Amino acid sequence: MSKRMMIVMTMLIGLLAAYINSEVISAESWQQVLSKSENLEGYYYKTPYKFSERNMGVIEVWHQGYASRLEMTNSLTGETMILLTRQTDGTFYQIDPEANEAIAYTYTDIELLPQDLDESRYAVAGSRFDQNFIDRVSSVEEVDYRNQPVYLLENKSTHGGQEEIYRVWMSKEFGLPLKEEMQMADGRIHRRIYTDMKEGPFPQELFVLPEGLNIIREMRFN
Amino acid sequence: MNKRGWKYQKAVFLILLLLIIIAVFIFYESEKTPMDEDVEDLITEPIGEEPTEPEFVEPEPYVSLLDGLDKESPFSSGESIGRLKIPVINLDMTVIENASASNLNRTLARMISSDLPDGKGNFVISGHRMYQYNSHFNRLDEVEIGDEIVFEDESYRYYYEVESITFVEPSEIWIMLGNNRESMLTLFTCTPIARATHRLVVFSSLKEMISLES
Repeated sequence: MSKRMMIVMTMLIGLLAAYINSEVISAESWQQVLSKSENLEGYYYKTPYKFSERNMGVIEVWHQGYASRLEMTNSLTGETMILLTRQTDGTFYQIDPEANEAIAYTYTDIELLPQDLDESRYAVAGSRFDQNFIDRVSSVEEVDYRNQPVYLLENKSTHGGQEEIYRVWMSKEFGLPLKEEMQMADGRIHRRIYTDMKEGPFPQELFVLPEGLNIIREMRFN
Repeated sequence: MNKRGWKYQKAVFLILLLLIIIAVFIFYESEKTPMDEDVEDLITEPIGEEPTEPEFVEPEPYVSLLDGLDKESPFSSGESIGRLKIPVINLDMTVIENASASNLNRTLARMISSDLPDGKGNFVISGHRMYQYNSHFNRLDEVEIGDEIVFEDESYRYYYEVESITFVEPSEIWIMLGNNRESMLTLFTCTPIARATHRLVVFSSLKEMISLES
């Protein structure tokens, strides 16, 4: 083998080794992927909703640290409703941005976050894909969904001879669901899909109350 | 070229020129649209009455989606507010005010963050899935789109029709957000039955409201 040939071969082997190494490093277990979203600098997604034939559209969600913003836009009327959560004081706000009006709902028995969180910090519920969820996963598959590598996890629940199955197509990139299915005991399947996923950070203004917001009602409940 | 040939060529040229002029004229006439004629008329005819300015119509004031949803509940926690009936799953239960943990152990309950069953907004009832067959919302998963749901209080009987069924995670409180553009009844319970990682949600729209007062 000539010297030149040797150099070419060495380079090719080196490239192959680097590729294999990167694949091994990026091959996270499904348990690691489930906790991935907690380390993201915020995330965003869209999901369709349908209350009725006259009220259906798109929900957009932004999560960032302790902040959460949800916008529901009716595809038929174009009207938007915003929901800002702020669990540091146990309150969330339902806002009509067009009228700049809101109803404030306050949970009185919510476990408040540490008092060192300042007023601009908002809180969201913890990950639902926790150890409790992991312990109940009954099947795991690696598949592609919409050209993205995902873990398809299945969680079966049986009671009194009836079986209900929850399936989630978990994005390996974000550690968030791209699709979920709930199969009822009679075989009917309810589906939800999540699209346009993006990682933050997002502008802080998204998570604060609009200026001059008129709170028309304050409700306290437990 | 001889003289005769030159004359012949000249004649052909003149005929061709004439044909081109005729063709251009015909094309121009055919391309004239009624609009052109109208424009010509407008130019040539004397101007008649001055066109009147359109009347100013004030735009409708925007009505907030939250308008009218700020009513205080007349009920106290645990007080009966009516009965819920879902014929298809043989459900007929009392609904009480405030879906607190202790109230939900008794029967179905209204989420006080939701609207009152008065024909506006989103009236939300929550119930335990229960392991015992037909108890509380144990069979809510059997409800299908198009099924009838009836809520009855002292004054009215409200007929709803199931329009949509979905599931959400427990923190998704948007399911109980209504707006005054419509009248809905939302029912939700835990799912899957023995795991309760999510909430099964049944959305229905008001179809009819009958007064029970004679």
